[in-house]
Amino acid sequence: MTSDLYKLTIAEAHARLSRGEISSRELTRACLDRIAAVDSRVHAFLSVIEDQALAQADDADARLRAGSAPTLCGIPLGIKDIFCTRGIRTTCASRILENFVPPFDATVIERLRAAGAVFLGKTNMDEFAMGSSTENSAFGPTRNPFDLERVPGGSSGGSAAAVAADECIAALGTDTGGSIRLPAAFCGIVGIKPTYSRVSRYGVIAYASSLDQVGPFTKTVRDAAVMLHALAGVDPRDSTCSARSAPDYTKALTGEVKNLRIGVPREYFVEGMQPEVERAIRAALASYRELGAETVEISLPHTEYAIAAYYLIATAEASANLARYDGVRYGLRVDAADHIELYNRSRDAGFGAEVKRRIMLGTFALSAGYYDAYYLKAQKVRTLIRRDFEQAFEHCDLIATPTTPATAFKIGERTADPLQMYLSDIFTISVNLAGLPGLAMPCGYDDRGLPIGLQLIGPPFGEEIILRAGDAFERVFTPRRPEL
Amino acid sequence: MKESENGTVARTGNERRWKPDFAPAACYDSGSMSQKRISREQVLHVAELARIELTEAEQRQLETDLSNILGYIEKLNQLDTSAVEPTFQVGDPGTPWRDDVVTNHPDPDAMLQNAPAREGRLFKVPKIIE
Amino acid sequence: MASEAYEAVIGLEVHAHLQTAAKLFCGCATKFGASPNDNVCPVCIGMPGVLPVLNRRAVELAIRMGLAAHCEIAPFSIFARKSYFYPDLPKGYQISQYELPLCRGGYVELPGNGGAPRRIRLVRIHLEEDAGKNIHERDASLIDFNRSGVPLAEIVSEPDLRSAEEAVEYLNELRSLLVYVGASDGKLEEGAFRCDCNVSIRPRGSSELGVKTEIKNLNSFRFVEKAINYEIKRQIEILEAGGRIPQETHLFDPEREVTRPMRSKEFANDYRYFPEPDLPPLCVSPAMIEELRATMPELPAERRARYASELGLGDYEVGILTREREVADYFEAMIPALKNPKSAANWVMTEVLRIVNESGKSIDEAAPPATESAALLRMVEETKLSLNAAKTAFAAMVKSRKSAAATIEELGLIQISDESAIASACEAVLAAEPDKVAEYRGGRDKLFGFFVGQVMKAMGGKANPRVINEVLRKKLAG
Repeated sequence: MTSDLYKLTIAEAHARLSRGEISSRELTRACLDRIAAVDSRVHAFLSVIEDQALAQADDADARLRAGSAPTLCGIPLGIKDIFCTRGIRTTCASRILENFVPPFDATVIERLRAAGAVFLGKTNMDEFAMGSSTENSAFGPTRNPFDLERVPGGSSGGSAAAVAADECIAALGTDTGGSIRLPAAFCGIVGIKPTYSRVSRYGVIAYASSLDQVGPFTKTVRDAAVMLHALAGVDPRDSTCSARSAPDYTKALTGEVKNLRIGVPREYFVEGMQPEVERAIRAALASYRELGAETVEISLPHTEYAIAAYYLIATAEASANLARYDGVRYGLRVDAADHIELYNRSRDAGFGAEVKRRIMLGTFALSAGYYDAYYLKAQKVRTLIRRDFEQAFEHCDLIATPTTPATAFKIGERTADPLQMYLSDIFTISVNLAGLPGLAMPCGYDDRGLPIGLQLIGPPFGEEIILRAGDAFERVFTPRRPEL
Repeated sequence: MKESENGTVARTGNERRWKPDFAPAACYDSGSMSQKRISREQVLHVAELARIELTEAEQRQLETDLSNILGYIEKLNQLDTSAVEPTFQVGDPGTPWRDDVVTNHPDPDAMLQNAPAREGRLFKVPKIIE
Repeated sequence: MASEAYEAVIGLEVHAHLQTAAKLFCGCATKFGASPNDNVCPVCIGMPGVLPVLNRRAVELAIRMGLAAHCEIAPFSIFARKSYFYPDLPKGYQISQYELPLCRGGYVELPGNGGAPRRIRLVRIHLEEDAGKNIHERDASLIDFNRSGVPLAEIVSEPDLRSAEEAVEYLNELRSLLVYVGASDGKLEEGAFRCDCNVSIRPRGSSELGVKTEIKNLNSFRFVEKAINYEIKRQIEILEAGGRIPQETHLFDPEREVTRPMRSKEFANDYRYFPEPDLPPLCVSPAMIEELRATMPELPAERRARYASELGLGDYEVGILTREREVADYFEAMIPALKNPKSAANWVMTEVLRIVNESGKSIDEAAPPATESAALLRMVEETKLSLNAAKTAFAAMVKSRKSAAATIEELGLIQISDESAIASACEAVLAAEPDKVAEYRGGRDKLFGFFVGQVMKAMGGKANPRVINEVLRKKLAG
């Protein structure tokens, strides 16, 4: 009986693959069958590339038979449709790229290919990663496997839902303001946003260049360490990519948290928060104390300004990043009499409402007469937010917070009010502004059975600390799987 | 702000604290809802800069949305940043270089394959207005 | 026309290609003449997700240009995105520099032409990427991105220029500097050079600035001159008619030789500059600057001063010899072998440059090596060769590429200065013409030339005329 192989973690699958108990083809087949069984309800995938996936699986099996294959060899993954994949349609969930087939691979895709990973298909997302619910996809929303009436979070909602629904063993996402951590929290799985510059952005369709980072969705913290090890490292094609080599993160998973100082920012526990969320986080902190860690109250006083700063910085960068979608070299083109009409019409038809809104806001923030008051002001506030963290890390080794103030909301509940939607990211956004690593993982469930996410924030390049702490908590906490 | 006994930064004074209450209206600073922070004219100007054609309905919606968002963003003005340097980037410092070596793409034709319109090896667009 | 009552105030923004092998932010070749969209990759065609990585050589060349123009080189400069939509601009923004450019201040010194050298101050020099090329057809446009991403230095002057002629002089000097520092091959056709001119006029003697017109995208020195002259005339006519000059951006129409306002607002845009988040700040270490400074060549202005003071050359000769670096280098390579540098200067200005101009090739391709030119002149100095014979030999060498020695040998051009050989030839001539000798001694001085001719004839034209003169005078007097 191979039908429930899709439930495996990377670590489990790797063990069985390398012992020859199962083949990558069987594992891949199991995931493809699972997708066929549940994805009509979840809608995590925008495209499934069955033939290519099986061919990759066969290649992986050959490597596995030859011995000493990397951990990811033969592991079926979901890939957020923001990563350029050579010869595989890459839409960014936008009409404007509906038929775009990149002639090149993103660096992380190249790395995963080299490691022998199998790509099942491209996952749904908010158009151009702009959103917190995956409702902004031009191709329809993804649903939360824990409650199909609810959102999976965004923007990487397809990848998170795919992992939660066991449609793939792990998945790739990006995080600009919380786009990995928020859906990981809403879908009850593990997601890590590495330090800015830790993972190459080459070939990752840009939303906000100074904030975007690539990271994995996995079922366990150990799997996240395996994925991050495969993704991270130097890339001469990305000038902002760190020159520091990446460690083997699995080595950090000692289970030991004794004497770790965990900072708990008081600004992240405020009235209006869903009570079960606060209870679950407090319980997780109590677990850490039982494991020998110390919790200290800290302050991140500029937290309340993070969303305002973010929506100026991110949209300003986005307004330029999305200027290349002009209907000239690729992408949607609407016929026009002259080149200006070509732009105006193609971009009107190709971009969804939220993307237009953010391009407009960003263009405004950079326009003559407003640059200082908006864009520059926001970048100064970013300095204050970053300093908050620097000062906090003088008193603690890592920071623990809720990932979101509330659990997954209903589809359609916040679409009418963009600002209300933006506020979903209140606990994740500062981490992007400061460029820090952040891990989201399940730590409890609310009264409806919806997952609650714990967020662990590290100092720059502190991935090992947060993975170690996350792994230690995971040893005392058993996450639930959704029933589909 | 001053250092408190346990070493963390404590807030003094009576600065407003953001209350994450998920009833929509409570998210805005009081009074900001009704205020127009961006005119229709500005919306049209920005749309022209951004090269996006907007329908009448979109214009109206953006006028409201952007006014609300800018209203919320005004909270940044509570902070005195006159002595603060901006943070444009958060990566490691240093300039990575590329050597001046030609590494032409092996298949330049692949760059043309997504073109909506071509004439031979050239991209084709409607008449350019100078 | 009251043109004498007005003074033009002109500032130039020059965009010059920097001569790198690869583009500014990717590895595609920069060379011209490739078939359309051949030198393109995901980066320079602006595919989604691509990122720029800076070409070190381009930075070095821009710094060398900055050093040549006496700029301050910024240890810390930043790239910025300049946003506008145009079909040849693949990303919808150009990566340029705005606040904190690579080079600030500085000046370019123009030759004095009799007076003192003049300094044209610079505002800045910065690095940026070029756009592709639009080819306009009747009802469509075609785009080639081979040029997209080629490194450009933008050199911005203060409004220190006062006439179209001076603007062209400044451009010549800039071009000369670019070639001297190795940043350009000086071939400014093929769109490798473009210039925007800011032109205003004011009453002569006034120190206020008038409203300027910006003339975009002039791609030859000749067009710059014509456009400025047209613009000055146009502005004077407006003011004389009592009108006001609106601040406008114009395009030069090379066919009708007029400027006209641009129809679209494409370039009059709000460019929304902001720091490029895909590139960390450009850090140039003092060591890097010093390394580049140490390898700087002597610059045209320095050479001009030295040629005048040390070699005693006049302004005209100095100007011609220093304009092109390769000409000056050629000239200087000849000097060590010679007693008189002026003969080398004359030689370069006449023989060598004639060949260069006629062939349209570079000096290295067109002329024999400088050492061979020098060898010819050296033989002239040593009276082994007549100047005419040297010219004959040079013409042959241009075609044959043989050495001076071999050519002279082959053509039998060596001059005989051996007194005894010449003396015996003289004796034979005098002995054969006793009547004429008597006439000469009787006072018919004119016959001297006849004797010289006869001796030269007898010696096959290779005798040194000076020695013939000396010997004949002695013998006839005797």
